[in-house]
Amino acid sequence: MILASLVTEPVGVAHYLIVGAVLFIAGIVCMATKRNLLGVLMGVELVLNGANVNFIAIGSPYLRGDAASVGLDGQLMALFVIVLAAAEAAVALAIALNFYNTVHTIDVDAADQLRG
Amino acid sequence: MLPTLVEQLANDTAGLSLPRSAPEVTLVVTIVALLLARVPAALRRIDPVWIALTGALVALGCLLGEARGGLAAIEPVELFTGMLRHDALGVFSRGLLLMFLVMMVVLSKLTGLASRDDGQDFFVLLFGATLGMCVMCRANHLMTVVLGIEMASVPSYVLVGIVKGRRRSGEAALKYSVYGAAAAGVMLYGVSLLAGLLGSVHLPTLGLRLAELQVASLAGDPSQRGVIMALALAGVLVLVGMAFKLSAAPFHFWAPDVFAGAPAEVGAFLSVASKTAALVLLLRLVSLVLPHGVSVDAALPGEGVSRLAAMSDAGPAAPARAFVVGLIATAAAVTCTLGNLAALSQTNAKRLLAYSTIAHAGYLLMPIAAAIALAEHDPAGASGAAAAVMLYAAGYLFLNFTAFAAVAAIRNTRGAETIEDYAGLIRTAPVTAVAFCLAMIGLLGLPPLVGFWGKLAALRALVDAGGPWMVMLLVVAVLNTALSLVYYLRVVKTICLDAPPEDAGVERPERPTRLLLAVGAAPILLLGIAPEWLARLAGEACQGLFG
Amino acid sequence: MTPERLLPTLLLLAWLAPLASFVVSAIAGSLLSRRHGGQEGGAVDGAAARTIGHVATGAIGVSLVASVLALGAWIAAHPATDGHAPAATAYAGEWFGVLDVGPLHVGAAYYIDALTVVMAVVVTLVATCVHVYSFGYLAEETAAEGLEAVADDEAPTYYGNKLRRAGRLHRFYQHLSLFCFAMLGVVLAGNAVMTFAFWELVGASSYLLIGFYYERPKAAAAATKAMLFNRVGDVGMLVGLMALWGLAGTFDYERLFAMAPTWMASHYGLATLVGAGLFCGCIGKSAQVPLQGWLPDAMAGPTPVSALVHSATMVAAGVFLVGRIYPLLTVEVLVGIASVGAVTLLVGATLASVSHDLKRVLAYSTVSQLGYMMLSLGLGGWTAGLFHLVTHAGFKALLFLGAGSVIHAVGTNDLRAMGGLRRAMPATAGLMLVGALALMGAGVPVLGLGLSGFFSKDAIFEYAVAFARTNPSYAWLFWAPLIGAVLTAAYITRLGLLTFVGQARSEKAEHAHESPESMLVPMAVVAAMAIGAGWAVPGSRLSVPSLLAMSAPEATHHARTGSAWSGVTLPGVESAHEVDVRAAAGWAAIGATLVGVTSALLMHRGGRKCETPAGAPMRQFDEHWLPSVSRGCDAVARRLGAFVSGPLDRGAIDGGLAGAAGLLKSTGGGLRRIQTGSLRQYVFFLALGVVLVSAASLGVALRWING
Repeated sequence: MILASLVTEPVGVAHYLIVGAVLFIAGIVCMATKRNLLGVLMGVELVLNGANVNFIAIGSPYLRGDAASVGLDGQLMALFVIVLAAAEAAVALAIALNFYNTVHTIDVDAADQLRG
Repeated sequence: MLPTLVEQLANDTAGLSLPRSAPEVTLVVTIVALLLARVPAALRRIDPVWIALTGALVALGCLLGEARGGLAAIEPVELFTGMLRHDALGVFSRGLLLMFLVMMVVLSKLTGLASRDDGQDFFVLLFGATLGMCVMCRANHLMTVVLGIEMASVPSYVLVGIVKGRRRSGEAALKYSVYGAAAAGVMLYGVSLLAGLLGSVHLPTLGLRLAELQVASLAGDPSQRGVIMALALAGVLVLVGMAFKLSAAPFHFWAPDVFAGAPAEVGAFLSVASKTAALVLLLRLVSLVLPHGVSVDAALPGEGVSRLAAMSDAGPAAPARAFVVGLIATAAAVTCTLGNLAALSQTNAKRLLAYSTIAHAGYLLMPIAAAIALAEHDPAGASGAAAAVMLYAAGYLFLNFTAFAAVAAIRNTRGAETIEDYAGLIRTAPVTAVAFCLAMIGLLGLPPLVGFWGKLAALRALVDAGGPWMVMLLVVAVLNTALSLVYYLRVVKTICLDAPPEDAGVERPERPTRLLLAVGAAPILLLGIAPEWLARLAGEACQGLFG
Repeated sequence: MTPERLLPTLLLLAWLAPLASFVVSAIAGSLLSRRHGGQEGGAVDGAAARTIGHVATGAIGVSLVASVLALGAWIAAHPATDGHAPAATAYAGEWFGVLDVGPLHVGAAYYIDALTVVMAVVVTLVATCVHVYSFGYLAEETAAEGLEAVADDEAPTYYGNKLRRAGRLHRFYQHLSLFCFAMLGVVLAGNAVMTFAFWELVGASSYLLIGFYYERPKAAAAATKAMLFNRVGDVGMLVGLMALWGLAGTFDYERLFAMAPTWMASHYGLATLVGAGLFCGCIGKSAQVPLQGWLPDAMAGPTPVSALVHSATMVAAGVFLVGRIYPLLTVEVLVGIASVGAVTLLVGATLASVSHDLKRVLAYSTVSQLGYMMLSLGLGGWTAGLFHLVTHAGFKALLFLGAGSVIHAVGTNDLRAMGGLRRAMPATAGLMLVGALALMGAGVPVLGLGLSGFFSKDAIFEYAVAFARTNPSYAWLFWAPLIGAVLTAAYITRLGLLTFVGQARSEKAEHAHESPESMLVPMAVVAAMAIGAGWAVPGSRLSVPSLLAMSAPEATHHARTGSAWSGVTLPGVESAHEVDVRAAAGWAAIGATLVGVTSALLMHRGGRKCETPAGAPMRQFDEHWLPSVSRGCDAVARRLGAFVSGPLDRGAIDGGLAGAAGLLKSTGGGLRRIQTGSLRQYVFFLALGVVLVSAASLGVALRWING
């Protein structure tokens, strides 16, 4: 099995990709199941960080060799994604605050007036 | 080494890229001006709408300057060291977006959404979102793809909830932002996989790498099967993000709630501008990442175009292309059917328009699938299919703008947003009613209004492509158009034939609003009668897109 | 000018003159009537109406002159032969195109051959006479002025008074002009679509003319009945036209006639369908069985209308059409036509013998004579049938005009109230005697002397004899016309006896007086036609039959055999003109006539007894049983209509659609329900969607790898 071989091999891109995948799935599950609005936002951050881990891994010349890696582009993308995540988090928190001001709760299930 | 690099960059930026990005620079300057104008007391008296309007008009003027000499004369060139791509399609789509921006500024001022006191917040967000969409339209690099999408989406999240104190707006903004973040995250993950598998983040290079990958030969090698599966997964994830932006099923769940909760003007913006930008981005992705090129078997053209299923010897990336066609075709069919069916029993006008938007997203995806299918053997045909998309989108701009503007006007005068409350509008507010009805009938796609030509071009692209997927799409499109008759004409009937409520007082909107509605509705009729000009522009814009 | 250009020009002039008159009189009529206000839009004063009448008569006179000139031009271009030469070429062309869609090209086209020219002359001549005659007959329309000028006894009113209405002579001439235009259109038509279009117009103007006294219920009902019966026939005609299009791809007669032999050989069944379909229209228009019922009822219109429309021209249009499309008809269709004609002539003659209404007798007589024409055409006697058409136009118009004269004088149609009128109306009696003799075909066989009907009837009998000789199993097609000839002579003798001979049987008859000159002169003109139409111009071989023979279709020149299953052979011209056939036919005809006359004289005791043996039950059949058949058909149609509109349309179709709509709406409602409003659910669906689409894609990719 792939996973078995991953345990014995030296750390390479695949390992990082697995971590990224775990973060990604954790984030998705978090977003889909958490009732606390802030928890949902944390899930968003997890997803974006999972992608970040991927970017860093594929951009590293040490893990794949110079020819196969994406090079600096990967790391640059990771930086930009961090900034994006921060901006998005700021906006999402502002929206959450606005929501709280009207509904007085941060329970996501309270947002159910719009339906059909 | 460094000085030459810096010099190269400076030349590139100042000489090549910035002059061709004048509209975006103008937008940035306007945003800064809007924000700074709040600071000194003297400037605080100026109504921000004038700054916004000036900025938008200047940006539009700069863009028209870029288009001076005709769209066909614009040579594709990469800007900012490959981040953006300047070509006719970029100019055309940004022209649509900037014109729409002007209309939006005027609309939001007239309906009172952007008031004197905090109008600049609204305009900053509007301009920021438009800036992001302009970046999306010219994206040539995975980073600008992601950046553009985020830059277009995040201000939209706030725009949806801009009206403070209304619970529904807040709820809509929440749903939009969370859903959007999730979808963006999924797309980003897919982007990372794609970049890793193909070893590049520059879109044309990705295309070359995909062609070199010789997917067909990989199939024979068992150890490389994982690569193919991972490629499929990456493609799916990237398309998920695009599907979110386009409100394609099954990633459309945000749309009805967001449109219902957001103010009608913001609904106009979301349904038109972000959709147009998303379509252009999708076109860029599929034209650059899925390489085309008439393959060796030039003997195949006539029949080969119809044999999508034959994935073997047609071209190096033919399997990938067939895969994407299948995905997009399925999504298109499901989307438009779902949108039309769910719209049948809607009572809220904005929700109805939301489902209508979803349905039209479905119709718009169909020629894109046709374009990908045609790119194999008939690049000119594929460009024609892309032109059909742009023609449809351009017509759709006026249609949806008029519809949402009318909804906004009626909200201001009658204070209602359900369709029954629109009864008898033709008698109390004739201009508004006529504009709305024109928009409804145009969305339906009846000649001689502009929606017909877009739909016709789209269906013709399907016919040109041929093959089982396309035939299925054709049937679905026709049936759904028939289905949509019900709800569009129900609105028209309520407006025109039902009696107005007794307590409907003076409710004609102000003259400037009526003028704006007329300006929005007139092209529906005029372009419907004489679409050649627009069709020619769209054709020139997409020429050479697929090689 | 060559005949090629001259003939179409002349005939175009003849065709458009009545149209111009119609337009002028319509405009003038509406303008003038507006001056005087009133319910109907006003009244046109008598002088103006008469002027309109003069204009119409002038126009039709111009048509007559143009048609005669055209005839002259034709004769000059095609010297008369003895009737056995090959056909003269027809002139075909188009005046202007109307529709040009793909392979379909339709326009106002002409097809001019001898038949066309002769028919044009006949139509315009009779029409001119009728136009003049109507001045006298419809004099009461212009006798007084104002909105209450005319009193009508037969129209019902609330208080039992006579209905009083404004005179509408101008309208009569309008309708007449329209009718002439339409009829000439049918005659000149060069393609089947034009024929059909003017066919319908003829029907429409006939409706207007029959329903001229529209306040009378009988007249209104008769007009509707005529229209409906014609329409029933036209359904078949449309089927025939469609089959023609499918078979040939063109409607142009010239091309069709050229192509006919080819497709008759290859698509015999379809060719039969074409002929049968087109003949259905002729059944309707020419009052053949089973659609003959409208013609007796159409006598509710003014008598000049009966004279022109329902004896000489419109009903002849059906016969004309059969003659025109003769090359397209297969042998089976022709035998079918002959059979229908045979039945019709018997039915018509029988019912004519028992009717008490003067015009009804003549109407049934028309039906019967039309049956003769169809019979003749069906048996291969193209020239004979159309010759009879020409002669019939003459003597039937004469008989009708005379009947009109009698009715005008006596004030009633009922034969039982007439009698002994020859003393009071000698001129009318004499002229009607001429008409009656022509109808029964009086003449001397050996010497070859006789009235027009003698020659044409003989010609028909020649073909009947020849046919019976060739196909002994179809001998009834000889016996039928023979018996019919007996009955013909009988009923017309009866008519003459009851009307003119004996004692007057009522007040009115005693005080009758002769009709004015405006009525007698046209009758005399038509009488000349009735007498001389069969004769050849002295000193040459030119006569109506020889003229017609120039355009006889190729197919009639020699015997034709039908398909194997019917085994019928139509005799050709030569076999009909053999000496012994001629002699047999001649003696049979004159014999039948004499038998008929004698039996009538005996049965009606020289004009004293009105009733015919078995008359009452026959009248029952005519007046009650036949209408009840129509009523039965009506009831069936209503039932069918109720079924279609009820269970079928409302139930199945509407119900199905409503069901489909309901299904869609419920699906839509269901889709609405998945939009739950819960954000967690949306994100869950997002994740689920990603998983499912990924799984599907991975599955596709895997299958592609392995397959």
